[in-house]
Amino acid sequence: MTLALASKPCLGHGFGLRVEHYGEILRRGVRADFCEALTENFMGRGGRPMAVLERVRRDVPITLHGVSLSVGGVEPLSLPYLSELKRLCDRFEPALVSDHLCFGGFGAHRAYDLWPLPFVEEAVVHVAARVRRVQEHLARRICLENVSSYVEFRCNTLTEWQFLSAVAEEADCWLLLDVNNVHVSAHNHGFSARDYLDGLPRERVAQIHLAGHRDCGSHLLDDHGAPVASAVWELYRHARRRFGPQPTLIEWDENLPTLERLEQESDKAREMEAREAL
Amino acid sequence: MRLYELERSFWQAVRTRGAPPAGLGEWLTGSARQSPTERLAVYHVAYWQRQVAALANSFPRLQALLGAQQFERVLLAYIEAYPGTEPCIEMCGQGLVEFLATRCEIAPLPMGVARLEWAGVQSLLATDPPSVAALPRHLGDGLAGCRLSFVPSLRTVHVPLESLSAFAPGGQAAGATVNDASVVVVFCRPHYTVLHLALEADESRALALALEGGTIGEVCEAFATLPEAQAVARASSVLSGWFARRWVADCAP
Repeated sequence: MTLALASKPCLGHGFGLRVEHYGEILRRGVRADFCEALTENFMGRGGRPMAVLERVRRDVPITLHGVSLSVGGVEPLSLPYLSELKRLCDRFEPALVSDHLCFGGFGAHRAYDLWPLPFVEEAVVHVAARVRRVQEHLARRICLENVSSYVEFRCNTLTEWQFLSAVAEEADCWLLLDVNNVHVSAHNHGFSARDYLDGLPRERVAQIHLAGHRDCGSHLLDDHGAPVASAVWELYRHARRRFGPQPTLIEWDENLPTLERLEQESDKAREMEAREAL
Repeated sequence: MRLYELERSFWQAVRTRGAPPAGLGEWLTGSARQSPTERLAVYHVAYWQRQVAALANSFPRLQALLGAQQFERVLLAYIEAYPGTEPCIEMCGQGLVEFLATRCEIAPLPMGVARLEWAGVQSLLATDPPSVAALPRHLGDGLAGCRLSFVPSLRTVHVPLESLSAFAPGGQAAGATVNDASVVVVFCRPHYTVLHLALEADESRALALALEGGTIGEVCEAFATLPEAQAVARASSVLSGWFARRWVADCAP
């Protein structure tokens, strides 16, 4: 991949498209600098989802965010999946394409979840090779997102941020930094969220995600079902200082609010950034 | 533990129902608040609940017919037997009808409802056709040699009439008479919404012929039992309806 790292797009602030808002979006469009579409919701589809994506794309840039690439999986990469992703990229020209640094099943079988990888050199080499193949197929650099996790493997030899950094460098890809996921995993595993952010290479972070989580007592659960927590806003402020202004997106899935409320949550990030810039 | 072995162990552990697999602590660490088993349970619960929720979303009427408990019991057995293979979770129900057919406790009525609901999901998730054909203006001799291709969202299902009644209570069963035991139902998504229509017996025969690639002339044989004038009128009405409902993507020799 010969694309310069400095060519990261400046997209501003946005939110993730959700089915429940499609009707309203078709009626009045979105109030955002950009929107993120969940890749799998638009693969091989027609009808209303495609009409929504076309409408949004006419108005603002979009990013494509996948959950099923299984870039850390040991099964072969799915060529039909990659081909369909390429078709979507060609049609909608997303500003960024991302998926998660995880595995999502075993063999041909899907978990419909984002399972954490062991933080070991073998996984760095394995994932980086697969990311390079994906990037070659798409002819573009992709972003990998850190996932929330609830387990740790005994075999880990690296910290999560060392692992993420090593994969990004080895694969020459960007990072999608999910600040809420850092907060959740830091709480669940007892590491410092700030150490995590400070350990990531500045030039690799190309996008930021923010979302809400739930306190289950024994652990925090990344359920995207609440407003962004104050501790996550505080961590975002730190990320903003370390990585500079990055495209920042609100994810909300459970207890989904109105489109207007979602737009207001995105405005908070914009306002925080404006205050920080003063 | 190598990556392959670790991922296989994780998959097996998450999918294990009942008592958690032994030896989790050999490759997972606990925390101050949770044992390895409790930590893995977060993924175990998510794996089963997420797919049950997706299936309930695809099969709401089947759920109502079976009741919540039996529905969940059947779905858990299904997910165990048919782990999903499609990237999109909405497709995880693609083997459910086949699975239900192996379960002797599932009566024909809910079986038919499941088939109808899955046809609706498939229609909803289908791609758009490159174009939709309009009814040819000049119905000349050449038309008889033309074949129809249909839009990707078109699905046909043959089900017991009682299944259709349970699927769409109070709805129409257009051509079915009180003596019919089964009916062919067509699903299509002309724009954003999936519509379904029960066909009369002659129209379902005609559509089957058309879907098999028959020419329009061959399709019209479905109405041959009628007196000639009625057969022509009926064939014309049926074919016009297919175009008007945006079922036809192309009409060409």
